[in-house]
Amino acid sequence: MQVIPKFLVRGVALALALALAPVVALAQEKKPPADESALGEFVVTGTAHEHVTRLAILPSLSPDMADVVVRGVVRRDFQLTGMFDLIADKKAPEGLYGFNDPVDVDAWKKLGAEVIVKVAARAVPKDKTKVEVHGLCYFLNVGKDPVYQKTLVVDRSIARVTAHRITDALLGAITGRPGGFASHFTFSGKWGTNRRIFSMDSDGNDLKPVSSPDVTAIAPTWGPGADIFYTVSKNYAPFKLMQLSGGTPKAIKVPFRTSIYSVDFNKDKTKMAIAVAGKLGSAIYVGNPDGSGMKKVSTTPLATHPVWSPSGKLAWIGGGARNGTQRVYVDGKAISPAGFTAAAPTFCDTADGIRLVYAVEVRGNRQELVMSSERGGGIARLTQHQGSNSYPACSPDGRMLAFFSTRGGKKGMYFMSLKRWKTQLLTRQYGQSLRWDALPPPPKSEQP
Amino acid sequence: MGGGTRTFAPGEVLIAGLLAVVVETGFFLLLGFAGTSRLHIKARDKAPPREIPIAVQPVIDPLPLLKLGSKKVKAKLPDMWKKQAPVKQYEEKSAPSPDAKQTPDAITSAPVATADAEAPPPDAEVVKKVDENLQPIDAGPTPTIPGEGSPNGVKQGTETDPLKARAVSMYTMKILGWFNARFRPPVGQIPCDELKKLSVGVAANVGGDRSVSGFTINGSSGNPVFDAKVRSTMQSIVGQQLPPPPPLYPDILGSTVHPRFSGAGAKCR
Repeated sequence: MQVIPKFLVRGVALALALALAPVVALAQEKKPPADESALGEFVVTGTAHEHVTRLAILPSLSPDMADVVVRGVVRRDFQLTGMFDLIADKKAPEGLYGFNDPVDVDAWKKLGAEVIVKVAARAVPKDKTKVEVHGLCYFLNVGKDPVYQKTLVVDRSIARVTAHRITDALLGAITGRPGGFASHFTFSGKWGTNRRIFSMDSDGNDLKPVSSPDVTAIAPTWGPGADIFYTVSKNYAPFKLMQLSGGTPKAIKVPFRTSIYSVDFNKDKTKMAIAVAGKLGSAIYVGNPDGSGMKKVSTTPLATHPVWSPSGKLAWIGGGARNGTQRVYVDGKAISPAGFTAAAPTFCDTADGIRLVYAVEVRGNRQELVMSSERGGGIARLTQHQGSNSYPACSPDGRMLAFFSTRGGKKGMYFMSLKRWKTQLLTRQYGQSLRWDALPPPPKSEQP
Repeated sequence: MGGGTRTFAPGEVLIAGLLAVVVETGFFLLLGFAGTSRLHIKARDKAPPREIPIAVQPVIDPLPLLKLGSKKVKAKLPDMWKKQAPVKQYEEKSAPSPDAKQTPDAITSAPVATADAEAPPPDAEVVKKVDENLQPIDAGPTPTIPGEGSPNGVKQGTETDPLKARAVSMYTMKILGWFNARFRPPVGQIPCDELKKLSVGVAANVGGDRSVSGFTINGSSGNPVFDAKVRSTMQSIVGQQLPPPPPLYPDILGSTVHPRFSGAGAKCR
């Protein structure tokens, strides 16, 4: 039985659609139009070319500790990227290198510099707790005027972090992709018979244990508000999910009584994935960061080590009696090669696109690192015959890969430049479950 | 508890004792009687099984036959990726030669090298112009052009932001490297001298997800083999994703990119 005439319903629907159309159009995100002529025509010859930018970082003669720290941090950060041909300090032209001294652009040009970076810091005369940090950058093919210039006044205690932020801003100016040195690590390391959670700056500075020595703490990750989330067990009890907020650990309520094996958050920290022990295996659940709204997402009998990609894909290590070895699954599909036991996947948001890096077990109880596209294609090996290499973690800017290695008898954490494939020892600290994340953004007044 | 009631009455104890004696006596009498009996039980042989003839009907096994093969090959990881050494480029320059023919055709169009310039190695890659020429560009006298711009710019320049100009340059190099990794000039199919002169422009359409969605070849190089190589290269590229533009300048990748495929870099023997 038709109560309302059909023409009336259709009329009202059309009126609503017409009325809402402008609102919907306004609500849609407007992307800036692409510059079609920016790239122009380029000649493809099939020959590999690479140009490494020759970069000069001005030396410092200042006795001020803040200046020494800031300049040292910036130079080391640029070295760690492996992207530049840094001009040695001993080749620096004679001249003055004070806070306000002008840069002798012509003298540096003669040394072949293409980019000049100057960083300096000095105490604020009226407030000894503050330092003035100065950073500027010249492109010598542009001229003698700096293309980037910034002076910040920050608390002396954060001079080091500010130096990392200045490096990131300078990398953004030089390459269009900001750096990822204003970041920190967390990992699980041995402590007597237990394991503790450690945190450390991106350059290996300020290493400290953050979990209690009386419990076994594993699988840490950075969560909302730069809090560390990890799992703990005491006296062989099931592992519980914990949040370390302001140095105080508190338990996260999750609807499971069994062990929580590992945890991870998506890019904007609005979703939490955890690996939960079951009767015969384990499963991945996804829910809110407070532990509510958990829903099972894994499809394999065994599922551990969840990790989110920057594009929102969820990867885990899955397997089972029928599947044989453990493989990397991305959104429910096995993407690592069959026949190899895979472990510890991580995603890198590189300049070439999103890449997946994970460890595979090889002969001699060793692990090697391999890299593939986000969907598993184009697999390439990153390490070979260099000890055991495990637990990769990518820098927030996707330029560098950190991992634990036993190469050359020197156990420790190593850096690999994903641009130049150069590997450097960062620290002799060895551990498991390495995670690397950006620091929370500073107040606007402290942004480089 | 000492002078309390007894658990059993004397009469009960007496009867129990008598019954026990009767049971014990009866047991020994039964043993004695059984030993004196002459009764023997003869063991009977088991009957042999009867043979029953049955008809056997052959049937086809429904399971498929196993495929002939060899032992399972063990999976192997690829070798570690090794970075290719960059090829040093040399600018095409002519040195005066006493053997040069005295004809107008023998006059080279390339710039003349200085007298003491070293000759490039025999296998060097000689190009018209070396990439990333860092020499300052002579823009002539300081322009008095109204509007935005840099006094260090060039007349043909369009970009007013030096940071963006550098980012565009670096991204162009990245896109160029991406295409270079996928193109091999048809060496051996075209005479080398001819191959090095061939080139053809392409307009590659780029989708919203940065994947190459299609292409148009603009004209012809004049050689069908070279054109076919460029076409097959582009066909294999369709569907693949270009590297992302720098995050600070996401607008520099438009909906079309314009590679020009050239045989100038062909490594002929």
